[in-house]
Amino acid sequence: MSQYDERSDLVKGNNNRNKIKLTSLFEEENKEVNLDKLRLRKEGQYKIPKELYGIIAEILTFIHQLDGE
Amino acid sequence: MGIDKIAGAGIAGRSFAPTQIEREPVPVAQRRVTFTGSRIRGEPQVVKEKPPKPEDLAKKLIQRKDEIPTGRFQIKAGPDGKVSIKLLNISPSINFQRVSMNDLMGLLGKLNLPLSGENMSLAKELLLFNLSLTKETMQDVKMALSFLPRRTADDLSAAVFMKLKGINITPENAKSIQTLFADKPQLGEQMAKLGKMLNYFSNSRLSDAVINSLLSQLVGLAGEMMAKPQKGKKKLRENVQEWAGEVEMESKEGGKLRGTLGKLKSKMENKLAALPEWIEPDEESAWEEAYILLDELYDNLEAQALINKSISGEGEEFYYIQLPLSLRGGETVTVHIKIYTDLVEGYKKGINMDNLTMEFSVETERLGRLDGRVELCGRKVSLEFIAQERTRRLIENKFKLLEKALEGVGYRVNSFKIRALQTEEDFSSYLIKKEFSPDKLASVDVTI
Repeated sequence: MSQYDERSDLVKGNNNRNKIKLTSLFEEENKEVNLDKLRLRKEGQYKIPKELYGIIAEILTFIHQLDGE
Repeated sequence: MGIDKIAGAGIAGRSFAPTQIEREPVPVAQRRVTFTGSRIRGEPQVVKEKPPKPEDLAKKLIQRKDEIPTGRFQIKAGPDGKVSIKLLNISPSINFQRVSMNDLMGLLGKLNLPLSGENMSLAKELLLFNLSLTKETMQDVKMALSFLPRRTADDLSAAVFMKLKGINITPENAKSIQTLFADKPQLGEQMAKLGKMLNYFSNSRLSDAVINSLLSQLVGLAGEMMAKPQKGKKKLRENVQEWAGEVEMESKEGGKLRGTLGKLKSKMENKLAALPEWIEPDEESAWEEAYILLDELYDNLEAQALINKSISGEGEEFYYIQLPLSLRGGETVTVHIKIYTDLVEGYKKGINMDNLTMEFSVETERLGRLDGRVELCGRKVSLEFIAQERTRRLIENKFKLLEKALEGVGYRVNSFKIRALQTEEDFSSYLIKKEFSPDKLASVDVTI
């Protein structure tokens, strides 16, 4: 019995007054991709703040210090 | 390897523009030249093919059996009597352990797809990585597979990864992603080899002025960009930013390094096709190996760029960047970094620094494998390291240095822990593991 079927059975335990809609992995997923954000990102509208590079630099320095011990 | 083979079939399966060279292949001992110093080593050596890994999908399924499935649900009740139950969090075991062969056959039957071994493997892999099993997804992954120029054990993961990340399925993109999965390239080591390569070719009697000039430019750029903490924090930050540009985290259309590399690759292709007949086998091997190195370096940067270009600000996406780090003992290593975040609007338009997770992984001769996780929440930072016992003690002793340094850039360490390194996951799992998205597992709408 599949995961899908088992879940259906569990829900079937309720009475028939219940109207059940079950979506799962095995059904078509309406995946919405935010195309607008993707386009804007490609155009360079979403910046990477310099402070992120600062944090990465600190991590690299720490690895360097550890290795140098 | 004879030149005929290079021109016709490509080096190690890589394709060149077909060039007709009429010459009988000359049988020579198979040699592998390694750029390990000023003088090449050309000892005859049998190049062993990596043994293909056994199909491990079934293993992945079996491994999950021991875990106890748990889940967290969110129940919302509306005034109209509609109740929705959303599965928010689930242990990995619940997801696929009950999917049997019969289930898969049923699912494929539902899609009117043949119950072939290929379709079954593909369907399992898609479900393992939480992709919906539809005809379209199956076709896309099959198309990606058909574009992979070599046959490797990681092909299926590479093809599924392309679909997961929304990377355009083209032959060029497939080749780059396959290189990343199959060859597990390390930018640090590639950069170190580049320097040795330049040294060799500048002294070669077949020296080519254009190639040498491009190679010098490339090595110069790479040297400038190499992360060397001893040169100061400002320079280091700039280095990181330059690499981010090269792999399009910064939305540039490639950087200087990739541009030079592209030109050099094309010149090398022409050079290889026109190598003279009297060339020594060692020298021929050196040119071949140089080309392979440049090609893999290009594909490595391209694959990182493809991953970063696919970020749309939705779901569990990540930026991925490799940084070459020069250590005190002269070793150059690669720090792999993944950054999970979302994109925010408003005056801070960009990646969300208030809610960001960064994972890094590095392996050095002295430290062994060292993994880490940095979580930013506002100005607070949580740190976690996973290291071998000896390195654990070093981290504990040196941790104050990192804490102070982070304070210097405006972050306060909120929590800090170190875990022992248990098992080392392979590179494919490193890239792909986070793609499980529990909140998309299932939802149930109940109307009472």
